[in-house]
Amino acid sequence: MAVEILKAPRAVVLKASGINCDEETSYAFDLAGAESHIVHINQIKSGEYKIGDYQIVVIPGGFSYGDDIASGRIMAIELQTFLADELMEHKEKGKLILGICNGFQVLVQSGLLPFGEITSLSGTNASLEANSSGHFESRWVYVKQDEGAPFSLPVAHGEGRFVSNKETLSEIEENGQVILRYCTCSGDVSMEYPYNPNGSMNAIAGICDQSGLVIGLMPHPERAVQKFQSDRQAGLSFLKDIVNLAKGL
Amino acid sequence: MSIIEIYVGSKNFKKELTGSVPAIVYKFEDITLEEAERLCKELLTNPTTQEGTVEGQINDEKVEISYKPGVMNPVEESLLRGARNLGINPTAVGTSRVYFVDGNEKFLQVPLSQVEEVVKEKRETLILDTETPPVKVIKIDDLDEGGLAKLSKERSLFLDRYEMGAIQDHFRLLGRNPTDCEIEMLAQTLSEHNGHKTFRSKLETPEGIVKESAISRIKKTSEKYFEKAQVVTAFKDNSGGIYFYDGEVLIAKAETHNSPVAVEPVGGAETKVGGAYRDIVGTGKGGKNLFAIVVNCFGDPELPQSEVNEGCLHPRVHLEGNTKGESDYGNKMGIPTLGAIFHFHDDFAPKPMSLGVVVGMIKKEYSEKGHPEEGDLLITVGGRTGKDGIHGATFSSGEMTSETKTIHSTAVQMGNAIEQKRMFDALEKCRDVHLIRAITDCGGGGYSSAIGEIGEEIGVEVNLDLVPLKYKGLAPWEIWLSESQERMVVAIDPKDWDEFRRICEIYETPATKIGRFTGDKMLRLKYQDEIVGELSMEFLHNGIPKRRLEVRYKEKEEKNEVPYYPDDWSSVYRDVVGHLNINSKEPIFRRYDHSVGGRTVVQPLMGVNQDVQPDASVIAPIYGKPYGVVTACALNPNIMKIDPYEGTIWSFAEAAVKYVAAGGYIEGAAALDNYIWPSNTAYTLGALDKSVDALCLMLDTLEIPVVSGKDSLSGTFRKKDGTVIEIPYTVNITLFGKIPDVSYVVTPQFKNPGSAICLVGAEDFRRMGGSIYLDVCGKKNNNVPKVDLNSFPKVLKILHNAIRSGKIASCKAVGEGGMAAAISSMCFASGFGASINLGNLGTRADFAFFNETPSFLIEVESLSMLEMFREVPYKIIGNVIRKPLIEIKDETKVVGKVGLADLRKAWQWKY
Repeated sequence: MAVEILKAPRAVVLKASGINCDEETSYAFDLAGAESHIVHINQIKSGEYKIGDYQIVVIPGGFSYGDDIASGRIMAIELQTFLADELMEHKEKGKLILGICNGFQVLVQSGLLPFGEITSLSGTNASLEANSSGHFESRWVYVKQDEGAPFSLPVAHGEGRFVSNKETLSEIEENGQVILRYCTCSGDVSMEYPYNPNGSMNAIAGICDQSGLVIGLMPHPERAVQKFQSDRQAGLSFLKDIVNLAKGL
Repeated sequence: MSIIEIYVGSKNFKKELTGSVPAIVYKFEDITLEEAERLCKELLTNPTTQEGTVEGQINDEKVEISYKPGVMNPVEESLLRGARNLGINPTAVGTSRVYFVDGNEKFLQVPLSQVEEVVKEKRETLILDTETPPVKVIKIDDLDEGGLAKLSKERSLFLDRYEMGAIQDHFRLLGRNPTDCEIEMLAQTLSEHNGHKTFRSKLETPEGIVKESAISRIKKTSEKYFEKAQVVTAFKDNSGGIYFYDGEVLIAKAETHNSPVAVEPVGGAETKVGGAYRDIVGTGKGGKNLFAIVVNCFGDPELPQSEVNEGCLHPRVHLEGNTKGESDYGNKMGIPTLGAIFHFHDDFAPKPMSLGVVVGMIKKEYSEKGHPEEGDLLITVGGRTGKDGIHGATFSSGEMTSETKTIHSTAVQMGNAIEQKRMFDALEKCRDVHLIRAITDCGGGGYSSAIGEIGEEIGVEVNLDLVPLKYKGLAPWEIWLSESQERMVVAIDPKDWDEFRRICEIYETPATKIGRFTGDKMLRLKYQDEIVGELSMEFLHNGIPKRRLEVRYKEKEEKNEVPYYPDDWSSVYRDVVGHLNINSKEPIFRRYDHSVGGRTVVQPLMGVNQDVQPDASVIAPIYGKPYGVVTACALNPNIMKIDPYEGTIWSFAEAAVKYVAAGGYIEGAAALDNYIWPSNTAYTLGALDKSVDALCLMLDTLEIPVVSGKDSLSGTFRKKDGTVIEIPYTVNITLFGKIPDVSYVVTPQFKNPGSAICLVGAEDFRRMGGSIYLDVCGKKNNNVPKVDLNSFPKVLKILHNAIRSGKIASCKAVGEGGMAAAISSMCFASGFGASINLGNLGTRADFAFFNETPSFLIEVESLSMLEMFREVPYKIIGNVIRKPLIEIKDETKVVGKVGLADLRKAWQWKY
């Protein structure tokens, strides 16, 4: 068993038409201690690769299927249609699903966030809407986890404003499902632009489901893993935490 | 056959008749009402924020806007996919947007782009198929000169009588008349856009001296420095490249798309960057895109509407549309945009300049252009072919007039970044398993240009009826000439076809066999087994003899006005940093993804407020390796307009100082040149001749080769009354090269209060012509700054060594706006102030502060570090201070004091 534990967790970085952050996400996961593979969703559909062989499923950033109709919508319908059973089985085994930026949008559109169940569109409870500024925003922002110290990550999105109805919002707050909030450099949670780059409710930058196994966030940890990107390499610490969670699964 | 419409909008959209937020209408052909209800709920309407309704339930008055039939609408493919996933199979789909006007017609002012229309009548079907027109034989054998000119005009061939005559002679010799396919193909191959006729012509001066063509002068000068820059490919492929590290080659390409941006800015800009990205993938056996820099020139965005010329869009529409097109396409492709230059000059109002610079990488083993072999298959990969973009190459080579926007709207297309992204992903995989024998991209001229080029050495036969179409009804010549986007052609060995197709299927990119390489050196076009075109490759590419063009030189006018010594320095300073060519472009540049790919080293909007642009782009392209790529661009239409010779030297020198200031090493760098010229009359060619001389002088001075270049010589607009507006002569210089370690790069951000600020380089303080300072003072002066070419190479070298040895805390190139603009950037980035003494610089303090000779400002912590600079001109001009203000002294007197917040306010663009 000892040998098993030392093995790097395997991460599958899903590729699909329009996904474009797969290379750096895969590299960042390798740096964080995982063994990652970029696999096209069609290679999973065809049975060439299996979700069951991985401890972490990552849906990286990009514009899956052009973000046509709504961001993440078509990819979410692909998950509902072809991968629902495999993903739910993955989750039941206590394994992780991470969505970054467009991946977060996909998880919300499929129902996996905030409440951990793949549903049809009419059963979803939240949305990531167009930024309040009305346009794409590429910048570094400060975020923090609960009472932790603020750290800096890049965002680059046009639709990252977290929106839900009152009941859902209070439920995810009560459950402690908000994992990241936008804040100032001194750590004050902020609704003010540009600290909160998109106008998200409660300054939400990332959430998880009740089990903590499905995680989604708008900022890009994979773009803050090298010294030249940011001295503190906060993205690497964030991904290492996820890889460590997956160890021994 | 029936269409069902589904309306989706924000909650309560039916009641909110504001007109500003439209509802989207999704249209499905041949589905049931129950299926429509399901699509509305399970595909289209987000229950958290939206509501949707199936048609028949909305009776309000409304204005519906949709793409014109046939314009590529990427949403359609996703609608089909989504519907099929839900088990619903419409025969066709479409979208439009609807504004509810409730009797209020003012919403009709919603700006329409060239590719949109107000829907007046409901269409009965979304299917666009029509009858295919037959191939026509064009009778030219008996036409006289007038008849040939008429034919050229009627078919929009843009060929002159000399070229038409040569074509007539050729077909007389063959004893037949050309088909429409053949004549269109010849026009496209000969167009300025594809043929670069002017750049390839010898030039004859008024004294009767015959000079080599522009292209051969640039090539010959460059070849001397190929070895020094480790050039791997130059002038022969879709991009030019130099050796990098670890078996990789850096490749770069810069391309304009001025005519399309003039008439349809969003689509024009999308297809501009899209085309440049395809050039990288069309290099060798397939390169990889790393990043882009965009360089654009527009008219005044505040121009009163009454001054916009008939048939032109407002400069602000150009600016906004171009920004949307560039950023959307790059962001969707996942290719970061690391630099953006926006330059404004009134003469760009009718026809802007829109340039995209792209840098990529390719393994050396794949960098050699491929050679198709006899029997190889010709494959088209990517998008389908439609009527969009027909005559793009010829239209962009002609003069723009007040009617161009209407007549040539078919020449413009919209891009589909996702289609291109998956095509690139598939092609990269195919290349890595050695399935690609040769590849090139379809750009201007479509298949005609791409297949003519890929089959040039060996000959190729194409079955036009095998080309996948967006809809039926294209004439064979339209299939051949269409510039539908996101297509590439590939030559593969027939035994590799199954594997090639398998990989393309994984990535969902269509790949279709459309012909084969023959070995007979002919270009043969077939349509349903009938030959519809047959030309020898020799005639196609070399059939029209090169000409000799006459040049004339214009004397420069003497103008030497200078302003009085300023009595209010703060006010002048604010005016200079607030000038459109200096102010912060942050509000626009924010919309481009700067960090995707995880390779960006210096943030493209850096500093304490993330709003200062560094001088050049720096990336580390290979994960886990310290190697860097530095890329800088410079242009200056103001100085070029006054003096194309000195202006070219200035542009090159400015690119060099920006490149070095950002950490670049001038030894081993390579250049791209982009000429954007008003026309090719004798006088403008005289200016071009001078500019090429200046360019070659700079190549020799810095021992740098050009590895790729492009020219666009149609920057004129003919008004209805016949008067012509010419764009300023413009040359953009891009320098790119490698550095061994990105960790020594410095930024323009001041680091330490107390440290000294020095000016390095020989300033030509006597010449203030073309400067922003004189522009804000309203003075005319034609004495533009001259770069001291004796000390310049040494300055670049020493400065680089100083940066590399860690002796410089911050560094900024001096250029437009002079030292004044450079210091303000260094302060804005850091939040620190500066105390500057402009006395004892041997000139008037204001001349020193605002002079635009390319040079450097550096921050050094200790004066002992200046020992390194003893061989080159340098002057200590002040100190970094903690207080957020800039204090200007003239000898002992404080002449100006301006708070940083105050100055920043003037600098921020109220965009």
